[in-house]
Amino acid sequence: MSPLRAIAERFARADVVFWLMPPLIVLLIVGTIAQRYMGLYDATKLFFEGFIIWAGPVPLPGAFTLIGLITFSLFCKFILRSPLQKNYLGIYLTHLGALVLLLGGFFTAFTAKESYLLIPEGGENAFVYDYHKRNMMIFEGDGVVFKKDFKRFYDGQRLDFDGALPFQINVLGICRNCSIVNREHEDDVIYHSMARFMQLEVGEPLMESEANLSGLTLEITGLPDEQDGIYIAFEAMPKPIEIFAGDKVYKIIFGKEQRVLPFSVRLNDFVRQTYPGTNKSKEYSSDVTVIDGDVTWHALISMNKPLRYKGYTLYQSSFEQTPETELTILAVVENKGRLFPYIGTIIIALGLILHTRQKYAKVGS
Amino acid sequence: MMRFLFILLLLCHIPGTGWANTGYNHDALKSIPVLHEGRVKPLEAFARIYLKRFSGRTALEDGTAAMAWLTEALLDPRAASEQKVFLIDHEALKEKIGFIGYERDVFSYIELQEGLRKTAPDIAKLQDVPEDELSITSKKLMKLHYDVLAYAQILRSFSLLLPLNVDIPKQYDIPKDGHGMITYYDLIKIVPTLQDDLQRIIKRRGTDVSRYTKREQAITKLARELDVLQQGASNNVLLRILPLTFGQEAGDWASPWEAVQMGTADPKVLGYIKRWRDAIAAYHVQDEAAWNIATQAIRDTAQEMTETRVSSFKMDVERWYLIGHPLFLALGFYIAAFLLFTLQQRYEAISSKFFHVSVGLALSLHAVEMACRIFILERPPVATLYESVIFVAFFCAALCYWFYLKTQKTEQIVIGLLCAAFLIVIAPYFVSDASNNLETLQAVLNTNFWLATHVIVITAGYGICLITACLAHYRLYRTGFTKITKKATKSLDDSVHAASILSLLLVAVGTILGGIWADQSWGRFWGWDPKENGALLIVLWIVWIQHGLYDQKLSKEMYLALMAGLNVIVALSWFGVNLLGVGLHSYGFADGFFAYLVLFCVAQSAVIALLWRKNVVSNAKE
Repeated sequence: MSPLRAIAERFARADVVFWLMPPLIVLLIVGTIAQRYMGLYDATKLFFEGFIIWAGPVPLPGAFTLIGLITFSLFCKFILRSPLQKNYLGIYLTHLGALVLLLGGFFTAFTAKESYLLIPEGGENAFVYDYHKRNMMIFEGDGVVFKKDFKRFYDGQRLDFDGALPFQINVLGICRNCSIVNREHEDDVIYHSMARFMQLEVGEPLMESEANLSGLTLEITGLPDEQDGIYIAFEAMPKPIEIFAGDKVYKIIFGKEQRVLPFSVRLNDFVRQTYPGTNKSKEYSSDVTVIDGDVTWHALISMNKPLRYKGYTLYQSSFEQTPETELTILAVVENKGRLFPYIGTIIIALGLILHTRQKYAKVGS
Repeated sequence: MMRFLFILLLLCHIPGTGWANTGYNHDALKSIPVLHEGRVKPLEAFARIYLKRFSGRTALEDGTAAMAWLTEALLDPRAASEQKVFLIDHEALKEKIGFIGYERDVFSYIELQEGLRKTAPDIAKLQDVPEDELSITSKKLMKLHYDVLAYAQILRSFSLLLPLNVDIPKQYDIPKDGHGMITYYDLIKIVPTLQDDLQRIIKRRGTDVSRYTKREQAITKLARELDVLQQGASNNVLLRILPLTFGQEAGDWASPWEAVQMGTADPKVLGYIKRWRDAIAAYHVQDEAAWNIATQAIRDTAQEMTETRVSSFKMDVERWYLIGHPLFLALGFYIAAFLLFTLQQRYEAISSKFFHVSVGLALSLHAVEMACRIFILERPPVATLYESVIFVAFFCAALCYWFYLKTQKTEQIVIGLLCAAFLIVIAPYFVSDASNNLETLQAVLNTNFWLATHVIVITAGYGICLITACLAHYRLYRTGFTKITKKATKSLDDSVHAASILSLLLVAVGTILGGIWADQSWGRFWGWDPKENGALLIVLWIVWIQHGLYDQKLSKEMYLALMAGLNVIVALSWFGVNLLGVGLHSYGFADGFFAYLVLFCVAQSAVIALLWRKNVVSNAKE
């Protein structure tokens, strides 16, 4: 027997699932309780979307590792130890359904993107913002010449852009959730742009990751005309950092990652229906027009009734009310693996029904 | 706000005799529709909700029924303010509001005023404190303040129709109606003139009232009294009893003060108000015959005005449901069925018919309970924690009875009856608002399709999990503590295994259906949300145990002990995750039962450990 076959044979045994399940159950319980204290996003990232969890210096298997091994075990079992017998058809089908479900889960975990689309009444938008991912971008004119994920920044980092840009950046401070306070001026330090009036202080990260106000304190050097000095960049900053070098203008923008949809959406009307005599919401809905090139059509997005188009699912997530207008917030999910759960469910249900029937026939007899 | 109410009490001319308690007929008022918390319900339901909220009971200690209490509160605020309604059974709270050394736990609105005035500054501070940082006393103090405010609203609801003890200067021609009463409602038409006259007086004489003539003083006094009444009634919207039928507001509901303040000219509403006025007049003079005629007329008018939008049958059903307590009757029959079954096992002379009739009645009443909720709320009866407990209780009892009829296995019916009874007993602890368990749903839950599929399947899964765990308990008990044949042991093992497979089927399919709902609603199948993780935990637990048994990694005793532990896993998944208060399933958040959950889990674990140990020792001896 080849070593590969031997490994596959070993993984095809039922005890693999038996041994892998307890750590997975523990991980599920610990990760779920941690959500109360760390917030949903951070706890999910730490416990359920990683290969390794570090308990101090000790590496422990993460959910991806455990579920990956179970998936592999199921696959091996299905290929090697599932001879076609009528009596076991229920179990085989159940295993097959679980395999489809798990593969779909992995596919979704690595490919799906979640973002949101903010549209005022009467407005049109094709740009979506990622819920969690932030980055810093440097524009030269309209083109992006540099882009960096916020997670890859660290205190004291120096960005020299390999000399491609006429300036360098030193990262003096990063805050995942910043507090904006009045600037305390230091001697011999030159502050520019919004940093002249305000400074960023590190605040306690919020439980809801998307509600954090992330930001950077930057020192920019190598610029002409006394532009060297301290700058700040944070989410939803009303004015980007502007740098002039010769005849070129650079803009530094920090914020949630933006993506462009292959179509745009216009909000015709947002309706929030409440139970009569109360402020309790009964229904939210957005009457929208989808604009894709020359083609336009009306659609109604409401609770439990999303709009699906070109692999994107737009569902009613929230809304904002300003004195001037109402804005709808549509969550936009791009998930190419969304059919897996449907197929998996049908197969699992069939398998379990068959198996249960066989078991009850036995008990009855 | 309290000041306004005291002035109202002084102004109102009703003597405060507590006539409401003398046993006259409220029946006609009980089914009158009122819009409350987003849903039209009978006035009696409104009365029961608030009386329970204030006093923890649906009748006062002296036997006054909720409807009689409400009638008095609406029509005789002075008597109602002395009625001992507010339950304060927390000693630290009693102390805080100055009731030191009181043995009784129930206090009147008037008695509470001093304590509430003293603690009002604390409330302003407590409102800024996050709820999970509040002490129990602080929470109870805040609730008391909110309850008293709600009571004050109820007491003022009809103040515009109550006879006033005011002097009307002769220049204002107010024709007294047939009842000889003067109410704010009669005086509305002179309010603008009165205000103009007051302005003229102030302009002419200044603000020093001592310089006014007697006539001017009378005008000033009346204007101020009416102003106080009107101010006190601002935002008085609790009792939306008037169905508007006219103009832009048609289809809406208004409280009496709202209707007056919006200046409604709806002839039907004005006619309806007139009916109430007749009833108040009858109440005022304690004319029972006139009262009965007037309340009958109120009911007839209400029915006529709402016949196209409110089913009077539904109002009656809700009243019967609240009064009849079908669930608690069902509980009685479940217990009776259990006792009859036990006796029948011991004494063969007792006919099994009694047992079957008892189970039949219990299941029928339980079904009536759920059918009433479906009819009243127009949705499947599984949208709240309380409803899911009730549904699971029914599922357990019905399924076990069916199994019993098919197999005649006694343990199955015993487990079904005990599970159902236990769940019915604990169900009231999961009502999110102690006063109201017939709630409207949050927007995301407002889908009958998914409630009828995912929630029904997953909660049925919880039910069969409980049955499986109880069967495993029973099997361990029988083999550990009694003599049992191998055949009977094998039969029990098969039952446990078959039930566990059915559990896996329902919980797995239910969980995945939940994922599909999440995909439909939130665009993603799985988000590691606590509620989702809870459901997955049960699936993983059963899969783990099944694989352990299949691959002989678990002894039979350990397999059964872990299957018995399914009770703990279900409790954590079903109730425990709601205590975390995070995630997208915010509609399911709950608190207040952490200690009971821990107690249940610890007690269960101890029992299972004992059963397992006893089985291991017995096996070793054999």
